[in-house]
Order: sequence, then structure tokens, then C-alpha cells
Amino acid sequence: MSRYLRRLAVVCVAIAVVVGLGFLWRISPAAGLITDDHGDRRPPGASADAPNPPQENDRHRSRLNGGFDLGSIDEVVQTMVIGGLVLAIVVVVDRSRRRRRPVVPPAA
Amino acid sequence: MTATTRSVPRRTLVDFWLDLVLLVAFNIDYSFRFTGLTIHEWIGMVFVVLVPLHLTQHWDWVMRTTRRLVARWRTPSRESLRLAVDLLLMLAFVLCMAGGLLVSRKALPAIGLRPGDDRFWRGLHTTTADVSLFLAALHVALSWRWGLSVARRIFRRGPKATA
Repeated sequence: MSRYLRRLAVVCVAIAVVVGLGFLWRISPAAGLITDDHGDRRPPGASADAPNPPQENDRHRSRLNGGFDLGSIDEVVQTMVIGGLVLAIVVVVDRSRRRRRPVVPPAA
Repeated sequence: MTATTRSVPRRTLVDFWLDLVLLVAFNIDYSFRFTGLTIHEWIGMVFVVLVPLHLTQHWDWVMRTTRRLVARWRTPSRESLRLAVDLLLMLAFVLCMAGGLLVSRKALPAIGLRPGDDRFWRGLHTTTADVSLFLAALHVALSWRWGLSVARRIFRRGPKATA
């Protein structure tokens, strides 16, 4: 158990290092590489507290509240299709490689 | 618990179910229009607990493989590809979680914390989520034989179960 906790502590340190790199990135000139599609659309001169006007494809503001929306189940299917495609490609490549170079059992 | 389930080592069972929960949760959480912001953020909070546990479960493999590949570096192999994908996924996913926490508008305020609305972290959150989706699929795909073999052992029923 103590070994597990030690490893967990190491993992937490590794995670903290990655988050620290994120903060360094934020203050570096390379921060401009990251753009926010849902950024500030307030009219010039508007108060910083004023809310952004809604936008048709602004998914982060269109579904602020509420529970699961079964009408949008197609988005889950779409996500699964993307993952499934990657999986299928890797499986096909892997199987064809094995067929070309079968694993030969070691001689007795 | 069936005899078949008992034949699968406990550690393997924990790995399998934890991986499956993470995969399904990420698929649902990525589908933002389906979840809405509140559920999206609370599932994200679950990741904050489960991802370190998942990393801890496999930390020995990461360290062992890294040491082996560094000591005997030859042509890129399947193992080095797996390690590269896993490390990139860890980077992307940790930044995604951190970005999500730092722009949280529902989950963290509900427990009394009020993070700001930073454009950098918001952009990083969405970008790393897209990268993580691709890398997570690759991460699972590169272990498809392990996943399939464990699933077969867990869900095997009838006469084959005792074979």
C-alpha cells in the first residue's frame, strides 16, 4: 500500500510539473499559438463585466444549464465514430503486419 | 463473482474497468451539447480523481519501458510508439483538465472556488481536448489485443468458461 501511495505521489508531482509548464506557456510568447474560438465578442468600449452576445455555434454558452440533451445524442455517436475509425485503422494495420510477419514460436 | 471472473487477476480487472470507465466518460464528456456545461464539468472533476489513479496503475510500465528504450535505443518499435503516444496523451489530458478547472463556471463555484475566465486556458482546454480524443483512441487501439483478450476472459460464459 505504501508503495502504491509513493507512486501516486510521484504521479501527482508529474501532473503538477505539466500544469506548471502550462502556466509557463501562458506567459511565454508562444501563448499566441492557442486561440479561443469562443473569445471576447463584446463591442469595443463595452464593460468587461458585460456578457458576450450569444453566437449560433457558441456551444459553451448555448448549454450552460440543464441535464443530458438526448436530442444531441448524435454528438456522442460522432465522437465514438472518430475513436472507432482510429481503432479500426490501427487494428487493420496491426493484423496485416502480423500476417506478413507471423510470430514464429522459438525452436524447442 | 463467477469462476471466469475469478480467473482474471484482480489487478487486471481493476485496470480493465478503470480504463473502460475513463473511455466511456471521456466520450460522453467530449460531447458537450449532449451533457451541457454542468454535467460536463462534474464529469471533468471525476477525471481529476481517476486519471492520477490510472497513471499510478501503469507508472511502473512507463518507468520500465522508458529505461529500457533509453538504454538500448535502436529503430523505433511498437513499444516506443506506445510510450510516445502515452506520454503525449498524459501531457494533453493533464493540460485539458487544468484548463477546464481554471475556467470552471459550475463545478468549482459550487464548492466555493471562483476561477477566472481566462482566454488562454479556455483555448488550451478545447485544443487539448481535441488532441486528447485522437490520442486516447490511438492509446486504446495500440492495446486492442490486451483489451479484447481480457474482455473475452471476463465475459466468457457456459462450458468455455471452465476450459
